[in-house]
Amino acid sequence: MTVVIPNTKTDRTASAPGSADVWALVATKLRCITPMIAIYVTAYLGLAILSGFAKPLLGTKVLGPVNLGFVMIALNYLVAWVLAVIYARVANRVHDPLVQRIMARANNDGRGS
Amino acid sequence: MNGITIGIFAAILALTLAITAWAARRTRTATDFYAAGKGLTAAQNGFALAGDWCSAAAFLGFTGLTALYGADGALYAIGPLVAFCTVLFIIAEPLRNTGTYTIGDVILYRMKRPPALAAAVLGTIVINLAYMIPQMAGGGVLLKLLLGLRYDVSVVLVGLGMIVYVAAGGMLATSWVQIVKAVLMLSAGAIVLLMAVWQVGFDPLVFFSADEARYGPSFLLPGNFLKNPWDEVSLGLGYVLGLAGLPHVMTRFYTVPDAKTARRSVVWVMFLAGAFFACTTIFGLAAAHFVGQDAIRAADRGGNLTLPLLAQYLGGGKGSAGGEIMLGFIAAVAVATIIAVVAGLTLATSGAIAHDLYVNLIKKGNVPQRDQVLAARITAIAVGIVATLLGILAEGVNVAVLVILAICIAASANFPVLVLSLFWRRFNTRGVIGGMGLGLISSVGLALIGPAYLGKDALWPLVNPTVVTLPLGVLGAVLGTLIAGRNDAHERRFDEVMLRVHTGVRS
Repeated sequence: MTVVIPNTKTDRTASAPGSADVWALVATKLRCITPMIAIYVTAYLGLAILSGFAKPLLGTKVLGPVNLGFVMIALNYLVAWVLAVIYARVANRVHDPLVQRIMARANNDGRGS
Repeated sequence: MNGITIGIFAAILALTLAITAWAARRTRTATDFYAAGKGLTAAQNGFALAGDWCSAAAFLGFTGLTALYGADGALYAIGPLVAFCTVLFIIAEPLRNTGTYTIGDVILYRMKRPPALAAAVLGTIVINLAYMIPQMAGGGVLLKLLLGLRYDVSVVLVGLGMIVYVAAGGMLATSWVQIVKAVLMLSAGAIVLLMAVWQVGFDPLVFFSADEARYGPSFLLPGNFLKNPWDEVSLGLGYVLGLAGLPHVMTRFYTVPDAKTARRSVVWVMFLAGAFFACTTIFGLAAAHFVGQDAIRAADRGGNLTLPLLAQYLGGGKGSAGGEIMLGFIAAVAVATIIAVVAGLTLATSGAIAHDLYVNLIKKGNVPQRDQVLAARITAIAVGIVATLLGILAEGVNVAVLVILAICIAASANFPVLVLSLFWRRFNTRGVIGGMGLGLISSVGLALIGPAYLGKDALWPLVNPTVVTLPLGVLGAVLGTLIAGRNDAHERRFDEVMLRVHTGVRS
């Protein structure tokens, strides 16, 4: 049903067409999303944990009547939006061309399957 | 007030019914019914996602929580936005590439075994019903308050609306109902925001200082609503990972032509819904300042009428024409919100029953297109009737906590199983059953012996047990996988799976 590409270097990439390319794509994606996940999880769970266990700290006034808790909430909005825009840009410029290449190759190799 | 609310609501109803009639003529295949022919644009799906995700709990609930409990309301409101980071980075594109109409599709493609699909279907049905009952009850309470109808009549009206939208117009009608509702909700939000900040000279910081002076410094601190610190952590975990396991939101990614469009629709919803969530915090602070907590509590102890009351005040106050128009508008949008959200839930549940259970599990995929659509329509009507009956039975019961339970199960059972299916080579059918089983049982069990049901006699301290049940769900999935042992053919196939997950190529 599928055509095996013979000249792949590692064992686990030998069973599907273009799977070396797929694993390269996965590695590229992980390089992009791992730090992003670390950032938003730290920012958000950090806020949740501080809300539970460090109320006096979050009560520190930062901006007139606005305390650190609300500033951190605002920062979380900012983090989510900025990360979303960055991810979309990286995905458009880096991930999509890799996907296109794999799809083109799979279509050529997969003819008649 | 009744006349204006009824007028605006009738206009919304007429528009959505016209859309349903239009959509019904375009719904011929299963792909039409479950996935709107996979023809939505990124912006359309983004608005529809915002419609799905901003339930009455967000629209009315976050505003009320902020008005009565200050910072905890704002903490509640940020979670649902951050949750979309998880969806965007990990779930949306793989889901679109891998499945056809449901979460069950992903599990079935990965495992190729009926028990794995059955476990996924069970998770979807439990989550959707738990999510639906409070929405039905909320719709009943709201219609009763606004139109003076009896509670059971109100619930039946909500049920009837959603059954007509879904059974006749499928995903196309449901999506456009969501889009109409999202546009109305966002417009209402923008109008209320402008009027509120205009009153204080465009300086929202006034709300902070005025509320603090009136209600004391603890108002702007967390912990007024969620007393147990671990509940704050559980809430955070539940939201951030639970959304990615909620079937009625995830199935929206099947309505677009490809993964790239799915990705762009997430960015849309993050800005649309995120901006709205941020506004609910301002609305809550403004309502505490303008309307006052006493008046808010007098109208509804849970604060669910805060936003309508704020709109009434900003329009000119009780009895004034402007005040009554604003109140009527917000109230009508709130009712439309509830019907739209339950329609999405009905559709996702009928997908799990008619597509996963009937077509794929029982008939092994051998069902002609016309019969698939018929089965889907019949199931939608049946699901709608069951939800309506449960909604009527829920009168007077505190069902709001069921939303927490639904999100907890989604985070503890669906999310680990979905992620491990997409990313772990060894993950297998026993793992799916272990993860679903332990995640589901521990979530329901701990919720039942927790303070939500047993009050002071609770055997377990947290309302929201996600902080414990999520690790249990993951543990169940890993243990199940390891107990089943290795399967070379299954693990070798993972390369093919990864090709489809990341590119959408179907071999």
